[in-house]
Amino acid sequence: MPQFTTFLVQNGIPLEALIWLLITPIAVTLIVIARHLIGIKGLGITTPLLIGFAFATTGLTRGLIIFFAILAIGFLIRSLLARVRLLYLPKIAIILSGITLAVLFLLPLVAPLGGKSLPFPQAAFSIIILIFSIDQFISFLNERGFKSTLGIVVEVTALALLTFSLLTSQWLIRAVVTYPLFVIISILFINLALGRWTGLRLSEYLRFKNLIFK
Amino acid sequence: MLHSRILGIDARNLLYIKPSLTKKNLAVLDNKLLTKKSLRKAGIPVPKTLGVIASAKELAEFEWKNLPSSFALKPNRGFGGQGIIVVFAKRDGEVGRESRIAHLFGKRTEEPAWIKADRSIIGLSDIQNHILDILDGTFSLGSKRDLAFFEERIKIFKLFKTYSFRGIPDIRIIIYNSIPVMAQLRIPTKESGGRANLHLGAVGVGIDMGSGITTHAVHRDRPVSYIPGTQLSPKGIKIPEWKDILELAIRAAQAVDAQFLGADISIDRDRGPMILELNARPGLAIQIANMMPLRERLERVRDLRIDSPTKGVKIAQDLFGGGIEEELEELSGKKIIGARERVTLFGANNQTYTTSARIDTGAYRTTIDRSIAEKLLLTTIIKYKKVRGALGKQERPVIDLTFELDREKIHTEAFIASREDLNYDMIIGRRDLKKFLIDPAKNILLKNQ
Repeated sequence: MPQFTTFLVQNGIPLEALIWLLITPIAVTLIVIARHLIGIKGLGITTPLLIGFAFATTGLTRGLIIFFAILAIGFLIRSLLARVRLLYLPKIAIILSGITLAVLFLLPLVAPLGGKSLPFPQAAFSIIILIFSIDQFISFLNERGFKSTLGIVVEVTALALLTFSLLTSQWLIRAVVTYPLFVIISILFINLALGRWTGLRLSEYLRFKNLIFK
Repeated sequence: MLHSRILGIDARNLLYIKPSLTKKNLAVLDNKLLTKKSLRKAGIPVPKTLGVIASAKELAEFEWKNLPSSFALKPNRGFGGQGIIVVFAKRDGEVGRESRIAHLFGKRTEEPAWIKADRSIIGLSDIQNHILDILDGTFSLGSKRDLAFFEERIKIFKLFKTYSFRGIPDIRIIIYNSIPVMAQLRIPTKESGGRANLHLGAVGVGIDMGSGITTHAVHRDRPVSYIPGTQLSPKGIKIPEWKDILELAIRAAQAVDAQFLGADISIDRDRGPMILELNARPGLAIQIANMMPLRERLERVRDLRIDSPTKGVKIAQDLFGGGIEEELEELSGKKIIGARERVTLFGANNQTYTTSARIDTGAYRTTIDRSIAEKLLLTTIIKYKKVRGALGKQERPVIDLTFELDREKIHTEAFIASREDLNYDMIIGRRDLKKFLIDPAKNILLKNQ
């Protein structure tokens, strides 16, 4: 381990926490690349990133089951409330409470899956993250309709899986522990370049294919 | 490479929207009532505002009797055409509405009702509920609280009636540096529910900047030949008052002080063209509708400074017009030339001679002046031919001639004659015009020699 990592670990930062902190900028950069070079939007940076971290805590199978259950229940309660005239925030609060209740019943069924027991209390926080992501999905649904929302669910899931795979990659963990400063500095330069990107996204090559190959 | 000339979303945001918009004019552009106020101040026609509702209290006190029988109801900070209700007539008399609760008590409530653009009926309480949704920010950018307002309904212009499904088509013009760079006609379809927004399923039709004639069409990002669900081709429609429409768009951009924006213009049957809305983030499908990349056009006017709207119109028509002509050339496989054309003749001595020639479909053979033939050493006479001309019967010498017209090399036999007293020292006859279509309106400014 290089001096920088050793220094931090000796001063009370657990190695696991350090690894997650160092991988965060890499995950964020990949989400930026997905947005600007590929054209996957996925509700901004925060939502897919946090869901990816939640998956890393709960384990992939359990995480995915809980995530999709939350989405299904959230959309269901929203459609039940569609005809009731309520302000947006109280409506979201009702949906969140309903989901929480449902997840409490779901947890005993899901917990035994995936071998190891759920690492509480971290897992509780991960489940809260998953529950609260519904706010973003519902406001998107209100603005853009159901079909676009299904698309965004796929995109967010893909980006969350990407984040999850970074957090669990032994190769990447070794790399960030060995070269922490190099990783952060190169991330900085990559994003300076991405910030000036004015080319077409991969999705736009598809969108404008008739114009390109006319 | 063509794809680098296409405008993508990142380039649009970073290179054009961001430098163009200050906080101040973005506040105006994202607020329909403020936009209309700025435009009215500049003397630009906009639909009349019939009433504004800012709170539930104002809604309760609103005088419905003062509304005309047709109107549009809009959220002030709405985007993408959402939350807009258009009614085109009031239902005769008070209409009974089965209210569930009132029904329980054996009562029938009576309330006014209107006919919506899709011909369904909407009662007063539905409209009131919709206004509450608008006030809650259901349709506004960032879900912020909003105002609702009533607006004069635009009456559809006759020419567009055939093409449009119920709603009103509008003309989107992208303006940069006070120069219109690209335009499209947006036609509502059944799928778009009478709205003119492309992402809702409306058809976009590219417009040739020079002539105001529609060219290609796009639906859901795909090129189409017909309006979906019909046998109607939206190509070849001539937009009336095209120059005035372009000028209106330029004046609107100047009124809100925006360097880059999309102006939406509707043509009212009675009042003519007016600005319906201004859009700070115009969509990019307009490139498919025109089969033209936008970024290249934006680059071409990047450093231009325009002092008057009229000049902006002229530059736009000169720079970006002519799409129609190219398409005709593609369709027919023939090039379009004017009544006068620049021509280069090739001599026997490897010399060339360039002149303006008269395209003369009244003559069979091409004729050149004796002086040209001498200059180019084209003196080998291959035969003599009799011609019946204005000067009576003549016998003229014929030579072998090679010339270039509109990048097309032509080998032919041509007459030599004395043309020193005539306006042109060369005329090109039918024999050599088989690869061309002639448009007398082209090159009218080309000088004789």
